[in-house]
Parts: sequence; C-alpha cells; structure tokens
Amino acid sequence: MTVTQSRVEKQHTPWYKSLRRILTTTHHTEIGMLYFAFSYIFLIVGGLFALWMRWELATPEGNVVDANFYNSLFTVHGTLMIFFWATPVFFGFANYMVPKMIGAPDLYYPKLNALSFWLLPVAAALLLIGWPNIGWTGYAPLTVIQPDIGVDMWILSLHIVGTSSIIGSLNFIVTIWRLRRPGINFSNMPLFVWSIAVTAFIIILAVPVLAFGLTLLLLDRNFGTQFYIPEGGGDPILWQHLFWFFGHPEVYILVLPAMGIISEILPRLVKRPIYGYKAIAYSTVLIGVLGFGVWAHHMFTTGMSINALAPFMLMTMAVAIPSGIKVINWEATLYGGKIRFNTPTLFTLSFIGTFIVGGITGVFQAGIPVDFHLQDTYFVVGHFHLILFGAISQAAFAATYYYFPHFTKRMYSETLGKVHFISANVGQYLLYIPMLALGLLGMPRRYYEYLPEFQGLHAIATFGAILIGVGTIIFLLNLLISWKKGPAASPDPWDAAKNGMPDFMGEAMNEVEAQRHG
Amino acid sequence: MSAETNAHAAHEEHEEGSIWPAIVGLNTIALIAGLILLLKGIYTTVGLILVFYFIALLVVFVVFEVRQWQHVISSFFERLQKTPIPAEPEKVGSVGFPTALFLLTETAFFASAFGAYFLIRSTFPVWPPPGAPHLENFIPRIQTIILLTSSVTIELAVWSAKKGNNRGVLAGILATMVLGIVFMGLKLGIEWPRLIYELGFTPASGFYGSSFYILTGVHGAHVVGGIIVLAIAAGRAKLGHFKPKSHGFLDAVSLYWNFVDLIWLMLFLIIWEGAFLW
Repeated sequence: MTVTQSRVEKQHTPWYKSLRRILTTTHHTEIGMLYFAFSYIFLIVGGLFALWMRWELATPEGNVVDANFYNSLFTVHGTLMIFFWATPVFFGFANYMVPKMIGAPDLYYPKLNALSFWLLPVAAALLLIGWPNIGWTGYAPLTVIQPDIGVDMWILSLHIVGTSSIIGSLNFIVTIWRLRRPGINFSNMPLFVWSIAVTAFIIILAVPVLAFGLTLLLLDRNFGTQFYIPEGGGDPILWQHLFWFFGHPEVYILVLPAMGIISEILPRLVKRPIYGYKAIAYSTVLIGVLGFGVWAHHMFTTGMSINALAPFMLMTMAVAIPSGIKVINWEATLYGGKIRFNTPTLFTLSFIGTFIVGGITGVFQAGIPVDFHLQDTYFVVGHFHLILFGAISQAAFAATYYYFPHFTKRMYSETLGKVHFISANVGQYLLYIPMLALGLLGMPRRYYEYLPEFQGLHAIATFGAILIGVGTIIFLLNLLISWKKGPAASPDPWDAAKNGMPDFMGEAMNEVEAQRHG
Repeated sequence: MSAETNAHAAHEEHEEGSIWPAIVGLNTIALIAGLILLLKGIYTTVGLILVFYFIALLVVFVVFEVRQWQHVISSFFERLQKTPIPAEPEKVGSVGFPTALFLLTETAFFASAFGAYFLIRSTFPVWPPPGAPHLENFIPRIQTIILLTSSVTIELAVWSAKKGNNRGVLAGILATMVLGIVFMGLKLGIEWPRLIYELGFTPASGFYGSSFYILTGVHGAHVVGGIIVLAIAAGRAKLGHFKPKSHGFLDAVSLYWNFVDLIWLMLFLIIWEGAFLW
C-alpha cells in the first residue's frame, strides 16, 4: 500500500522538485543512490575508453589514435576506474547499508556525508577536462617536466577525491563506533561493517600521504622546488615511495569492501550462516595492517638495495595468507549450503574464482627475480585487471543484483542477468588470460603499437573486451528498465530473514523492538 | 501506523536536508580554476576573483550556518532518542574520538612529510649541504615561546568554559588568535622575506631550500587554519554556545591547536636546533 502511494507521488513530482531533492538531500539512502548513479556513469565512461584502447590494439599498427592520445586514454581510464568507479560504488553500498546494518537512523554527520559526495563531480570534471597523459601512477620526473596544464588539473582532481574520501571515512568510523544499537558489537557486527571500518582506517592513514606527494609535485611543477628533480638533490624515487605508500593500501581500499559485501550476501544466498566469522573479521584487519608494509613491491626494479627489498617480498607473500583465509571460509560456507543458480549467486561464485586466479598471479610477481622479468609488462596489467574487474567489479555487480529489490522495490530480469554473467565471465578470461600470456612473452604495457607476432593474442583480448562491454550495457539496461517497469519485489527477496539472517541486522532488531513495545 | 511514521520520517528528512553541501562541493571548481590560473600566471585577476569568490562563499556559509549548529545537534539527538541507541546531548561534549581521528589523518600527513625529508636528507653526505645559508634561530625561538604561550591560553579558554565563564572563554580564544597571528606575522613578515630577499634562499634553492619551505609552509598553513577555526569558535562563544557540559567544538579546537604546537616543536628541533644532525 505504502509502496503504490509513493509510486503515485513520484510520478507527479515535477522535475525541478526532484532536482531540488537531489541537491538538498542529506539522507544516507538517497546519498547512497547518488553514489551508485555517479559510479555507474563513470563505469560506462571508463569502459568506453578501455574499448577505444582495445580497438587500437586489435592491429599492430598505431592507426586509430596517435601516441599522445593513447597515453591520455590509459591515464584517464585508470584514474577514472579507481577513483570514480570502484571506490564510490562501495561508498554507495556503505552509505545505504551501514546505518541500516547497525540500526542507526543515519550517518553521524549527514551534511558532511553529502559534501563528500558533492566533491566527486568536480573532481571527475577536472580529470576529464584536464585529459592528462602521464599514466595513472604519474611518475616523476615526467610529471614535473610535462608542461601540459592537464597534469595540474589531474593533481588537483586527486586532491579533491582524497578530501572527499577522508571526510567520508571519518564519518563512517564515527558512525560505526557511536551509532551501533545495543546488541550489535564487534563480535557480531555484520562483516560488511567490519570491512568498511578497516577500509576507512586505511583511507585516513594512506590518503594524506598521497596528498603530500601531490602537493610536492604541484610545487615542483609551478614553483621550481626540487623534491623530485635530481639536480638540486631531490629524488624521483621519492614520488614512487609516497605514491605507492598510498597506492598499495588503495588496492585494499578497493578490495576489502568487495570482500565484505561478498561475506554478507554469500551466506544469505546459500542459506547457511557464514563459516568462520571471526577468522574473516580478523583477516580483514590483518590485510589492512599488512597492506601498509608492502608498497616497495612496486619498486623492485628501481635499484633499491636487495636487502631493503627482501622484507617487502616476504610481506607481500604474507598478505596472501589472510586473503586465503577468507577464500577458504567462503568455500566452507558453500559446503553443505543450498546453492541457487540466480544471478547474484553466479557473480558471487565468479568473484571467488577470479579472485583466486588474480590473487595467485599477484603472488608470482611478489618474487623479486620473477618481477624483474614481469615489471611493466602486460602480465601486470592482466593481474590487476583480474582483481579490479574480475573480482572487485563483479562483487559490485553481485551486490547490485542482490540489493536491487531493496533499493527499488522491484525485481530485475533473471534472464538478462544471466546473459550479463556469461558475457562478463567469458569476456574477462578472453581479455585477461591473453594479457598474462603477452606479458610472459615480453609485451610491455602502455604501447599503442607492437610487433606483428603478438596480434593473435591481442585480437582475442579485444574480442573479450567487446563481450564485456556488451554484457555491461545489457546489465545497465536491465537495471534501468526494471527500475521503472520490473515486477514488484517482496520485502525479503532472497528469504534471508526467513533463514534467520535478515539483510539489515540493525534495522531488523529495531523493528522487533518496536513491535514488542506496541 | 507504518504509513504514518513513514510520512513523518519523510517530513523530518525534508527538514534536515541542506543545499549547502552541494553548493560548497560543486563550487570547489571555482577554487580550483582560480588556483590553476594563479599557478600558471595567466588571467591572474580572474584567478584571484574566483579564489576570493569561494572564500566568500565559505564565509557566508559559516555565518549563516553557525547559528543553526545548536539546533542541528539537538534535532539529531532528538532523532536518536526515538531509537534504542544510547546517546545523550551531553555526549556532544565528547568530541575526543572524532577529533582524534582527524588528528590521525594529520599525523599521517606530517609523518609522510618528515619521512620524505629524512629519506632524501640521508642521501646527502653532509647536512646542511655546503653553500647553504646559516639559518638564524632568534626568530624561531621567539615563535616557540609564542606558540607555547598560546597553548596555555587555549587551555584557559577550555578551563573557563568548564567553569561557565563565557568572558574568560572569549578572552582565551582571542588571546590565542592574536598569538597565532603574531606567529604568522613573524614568519611571513620578517623571517621569510629576509631569507628570500637578503640571503637569496628560496624554495628553488635545491632540496635544502625546498624542504625548509615545505615543512615550515605546511605547518604555517595549519596555523592559518587554526586561526580560522578559532575565529569561528570566538563567534560561537559570543553567541553563548559553550556550556560547562557541552563545549565540544572548543575542545576539538584546543586539541588541534596543541597538535599544531607539537609539530612546531619537532620542526624547531630538527631545522634550527640541529636535532639528528651528523
């Protein structure tokens, strides 16, 4: 009844009132939806850039774009996908779900929460207008001597994104610490809340380091300071230290919420409580801590002494242990569970599978001698895309399908969802496995033309990229059409509450208590 | 029943909403555009206008919004009281945890600054490098005394707030502000011009110059930020916002100020007093 009423109201709302509501809202669910809209828009934009690059790479000659434009394409693609797709989409989930999971009415600072969203469009606009061509890692001294104004815009864009994520993280930590309802504590808090708490701590410790490094870069470019320039005693390697001290924890900023959300939806989909709650929670913390001690594994070939590098190799390999703990606990949850073959389950399973493949290719590169061979090749590209698309993005897809009935009160189309699943998974292995092979054969990354003997593998990869693109378009059309026209969904679409695992624990406890009191 | 509560909740949300996050967030584009014009030295007037436009916007926001903060806080706690979450308005006073988190980000920032400084400094055979000017420590010593005094005055303001002495609060905050302004005046008015114009020691004078100006510069920026939040605190003290049991903002400002003071002591020891020198 209430649902139909609100639907009628929605149809009568004139556009300027909806716009006003979008601009003025401070409610966590609505800001969560804004984050989703924003991140899915930039998934499309970043995906189109990727397809553009793959189109260029289908043939060995550089004939679609020129070298400089290709540099800009991979720079903007990388920065967009990390800062404007993978980070905000999980901020969206966190916004929507964390208060509901801990039984809070909203985040602790609702207006700051809105501010941390409204900084993002500015940052994205700066990045796209700036169109920098220095690579998403922005290595000095290239970034210092490159006179293009776009590099300054890229720096300031990252400053704004960083500010936004720091504000958001402070908000989430204070919310999780202060607004938990009685009965929810650190020994039974939903695992997604655990992962958001750890992620937020990583953000507030890692992002300021990036901010400092970027500030030095801005000064080097515009005021003649010599932090990254060897002539005055500076060191280009300093940038790599500062960037990767942020950059590697950033990987865990992206993957921990994905792991958290999988730990939430997997037990509900297979109707069996999560196996090893404590192990998963503590391994999240362990990944967060170890993540700060591995940054130099991006710098094995910079000429640092082997004695300094060896601990980073060991630490990097050690991170595989807590990650493995998680995988084994998910698999143990599957064992004896009732596996349903609906779209979120399929994506959850493919998340686990691809995470294993992507993670193990990472353990290879942790070995210093292996990395000497693989540094800056397509193997690296294949490895982190398997994690970023194959695992993290697919976790976001799984969670989007899973929570779609909660967000919109409607159901998506299962058939289209399965088509999306097949094209995304066939596509990703066609795209990234050839990349691993190309890297082993010695194809360097960031080249827009290459030797003719690599063409076969590149052509397969391009075909895979197109498959992923088609799948993503089907996915977004499915969501948009179902949002308006889909069949009404039940309030408990996956029988989670029926199996004793309500989707939003805190909210369910609040309702029980409200009923008890009258 | 549920429809009624939903409608009520929707009404409440509507009241809680605010256009300011969107205005401030989206207008940062003006700040950034202005900064880029200033950095590149093209259309500097336009750049200055854009930057000042953004600052004016923030001033308008603070002036309009500060009066409502009491209301915002109390309505948030009213909302909480309808839930089982234990939260009393008195707890507004305990800003220790959020402030500590904020200072944790600041710690990470300054740790990376000191880390970068020592990482590069360790590659020099001697420090200071040959040919670098001798840095006079007369002004920094005065600055140290000023900042240590200001830590006392801000604590006096907090102490007065606990006693309910609003005039003491205002006096403490204003004294701290004055000391902060004198500190910045000594740095920007006397020390830096002397170094730059008399000794020719600029940010472009090698890593020694760059690191000197970045370390003292980011610290100075934090002092300026401190002066601004002190001004807001003074405004709130004048409006009588600080009660003996609820003066969280003042607590937070004093913690921040003492933190900036501590960073200065480390800078003073490392840069002027030759700590860790070899």
